Amino acid sequence: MKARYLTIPILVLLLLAGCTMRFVSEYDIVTDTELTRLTKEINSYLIVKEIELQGGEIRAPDEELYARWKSEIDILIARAESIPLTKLTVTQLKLLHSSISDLQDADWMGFGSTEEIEIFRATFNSIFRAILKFERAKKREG
Amino acid sequence: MALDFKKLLKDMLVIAKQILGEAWPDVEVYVTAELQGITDRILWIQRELLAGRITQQKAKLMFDLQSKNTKIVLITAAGLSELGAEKLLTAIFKTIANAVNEALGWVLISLI
Repeated sequence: MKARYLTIPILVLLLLAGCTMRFVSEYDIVTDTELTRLTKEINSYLIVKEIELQGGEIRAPDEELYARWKSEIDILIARAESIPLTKLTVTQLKLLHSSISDLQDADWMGFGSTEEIEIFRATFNSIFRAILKFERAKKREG
Repeated sequence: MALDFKKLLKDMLVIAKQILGEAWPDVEVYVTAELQGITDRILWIQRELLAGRITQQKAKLMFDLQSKNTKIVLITAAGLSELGAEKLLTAIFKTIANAVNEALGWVLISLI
């Protein structure tokens, strides 16, 4: 009787031992590549804004560019949602999307100083660094 | 009233440490550096607002952005701790599989 009670946990343990545990999705090269490109684009955009501000002639926000960035992130969200175990990444991408809307709003309000633009650059660098750090940590050994 | 930024950072780190539990030592350096950066930016926004160099509307937007930045950093920390737990469990199950296979002299459990 006692042996029967032990059989089930041992079988479960043996079955689990045959599995590689997964709590987080696999690494996704498309997300990595696209976010790396977006990091560069947003950083460059803000550097140009700084130069324009120093020159005293700042152009209107590039609405086409903002629309493209947001649409590209929408595609990454849809892609992540179709992959199992991506809840954390999906939440990060949605927050990134909303952060770009904030940048767009700030751009329309007008940047008051190069220091202010640097704050936005530092913020976006931190955001992208965090999402990419997590994505790249998903690369497992073996 | 001016914010106490040292306390703010300390409070944020205490919360992060509580949430991340045993995974904290693995992410401490990363999370501390990022939260320090966010605190510095909040300090800048507050200073500019008090000096009247940015509007309340702009300050609110910038505070919201820092809040999103904080959430994204903490999600990364949580994700890294989940990956750590995953690695630990896989290593334990591998040890079990190896021990069972070795004792039997043939491969009963192959890792998938």
